[in-house]
Amino acid sequence: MVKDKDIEQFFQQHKPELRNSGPFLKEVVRQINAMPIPAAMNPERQKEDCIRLVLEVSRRDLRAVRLAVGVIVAVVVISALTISLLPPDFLPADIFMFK
Amino acid sequence: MTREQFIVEISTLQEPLRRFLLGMCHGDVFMADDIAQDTLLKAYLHYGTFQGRSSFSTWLLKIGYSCFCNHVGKKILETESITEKENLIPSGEDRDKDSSALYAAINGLSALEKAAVLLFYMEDYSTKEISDILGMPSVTVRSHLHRARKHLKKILEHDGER
Repeated sequence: MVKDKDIEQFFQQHKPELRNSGPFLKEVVRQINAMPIPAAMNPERQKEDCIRLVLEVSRRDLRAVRLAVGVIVAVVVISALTISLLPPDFLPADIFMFK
Repeated sequence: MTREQFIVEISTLQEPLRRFLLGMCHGDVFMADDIAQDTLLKAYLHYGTFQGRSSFSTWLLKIGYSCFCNHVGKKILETESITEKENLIPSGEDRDKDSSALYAAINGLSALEKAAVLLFYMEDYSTKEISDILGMPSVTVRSHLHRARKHLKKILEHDGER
């Protein structure tokens, strides 16, 4: 009865033997060296991409901070205007120092 | 990864890739090496598409299998054994004599079963990794392996009786 282990052993025993690995690799390396470096493998390009990414993130963060400050300023201004325009009867007596 | 690092990586991975393709091509060294060369150059040119979700060797074998499919024709792979249709078995001189028993044993399998069985038993890949390489669910890989195992057991039993 042939078991799973026997199949594995059979494959390991009859593994194809590779010849000419050296010349094969030499030829592939020669062809690779003759080709232009892909963008994904260019360290300078990778550095530029990283810098661009950092700048983009910081710009996005800055935009968010600006927006938050703008909203806060708008709320403060509107609140101040509302309070100053309200008739004095609506305000508690000691909200301002003067009467 | 730089070009030099890529070369270092492929120098260790070229052997399993070539061995797998040699099995797929039934020992036709020239055809297997042609496909392997094509695979390594494609991997180099399209390195940007490697997202690191699987290991580099899995990604390389995936390209290798796709190059093999392009070479022999997708339609043949999905049907019967490629050796029957395309007569890929090379002449005795080109074949490794020690491995001829292996080529004979996997001869009756479909290309997908052959790929699954070679990767599983010869290269020690898991069914999950094989599913990534062949681009199919793990369940399908397991069923291909099951069918291939059945076939191989029959062949090995028959050989044992002789």
